[in-house]
Amino acid sequence: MKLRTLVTATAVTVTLALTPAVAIAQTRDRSQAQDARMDRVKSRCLAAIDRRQQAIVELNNRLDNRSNLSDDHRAALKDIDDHTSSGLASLANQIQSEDNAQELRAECRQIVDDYRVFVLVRPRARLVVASDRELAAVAKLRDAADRIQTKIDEATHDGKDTSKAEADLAKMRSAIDTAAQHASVVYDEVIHVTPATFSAGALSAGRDDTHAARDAIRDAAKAGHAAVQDLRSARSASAT
Amino acid sequence: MDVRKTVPVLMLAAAFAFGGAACGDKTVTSAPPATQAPVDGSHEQASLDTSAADADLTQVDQLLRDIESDLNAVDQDAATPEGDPAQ
Repeated sequence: MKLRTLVTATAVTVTLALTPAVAIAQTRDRSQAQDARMDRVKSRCLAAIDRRQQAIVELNNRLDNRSNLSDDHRAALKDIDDHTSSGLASLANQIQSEDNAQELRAECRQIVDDYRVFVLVRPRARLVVASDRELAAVAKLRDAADRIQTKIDEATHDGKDTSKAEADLAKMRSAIDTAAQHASVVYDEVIHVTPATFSAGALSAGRDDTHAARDAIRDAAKAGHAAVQDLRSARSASAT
Repeated sequence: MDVRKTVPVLMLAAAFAFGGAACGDKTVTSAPPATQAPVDGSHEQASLDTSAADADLTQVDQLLRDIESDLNAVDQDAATPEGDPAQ
């Protein structure tokens, strides 16, 4: 009887003594696991910021190297890049020193929601670069059209039949006008979109106009080639 | 020699010499200039005009080809890699 009581008392005592130690150990393990999870999340978020910073560096290099980009457009795009880059750098510092898991999650969401580098900043800049290049092509096409007109005038003065060349030149000028209309609206269509107002398809109008301008430029060049060929034919026909 | 005879002879010689020189100048002036265009110059000019016109048209063709090449760069710029909005 006495022995049974002693064993029971000992068991109770040991249990009571061990329970807090186990609880403390479990809490410590949970805390370490949570720290490790936060570190992993931080690493992923900081890597995501690094990828965006790298994309902005590459984008700025592209903007610097595009001679056809207008000064105003280059300045506006680089201003956006600078704000995006400095904002992401601040966010990286915030994430690095964060010790609250919920706050960390919210800060990591900001990388996407507040900056939109891959879906807005970069594609927008590239559309502006493309449309400015198209406007430069439009200027060259107008020059080419004027030169073709001069040759038509000379051939007409020499008594040559230039009706085909004139028809192709008219097609060329019409396509040039179409290209100019599309390319000249791209900047205004995309520059005012912000990460806050961004939604899927926000750049669609700019992209569609860029493609339409490109197709019209191709048509204009084709009509120009045809007009040149018409003039050659008219000249050789009269020479024989 | 008698001076009264010598003076008229010298004057006569001078007169001949002057006249000869004048005639020589006249002959040189009337000669056709070496740079004068040949008889078929209009044909050559027309040929030059045709060559110039061809050269102009070739330049325009080249300009149009350059513009078409630029379109490849437009395609590269416009074909923007876009990320997933959720990423």
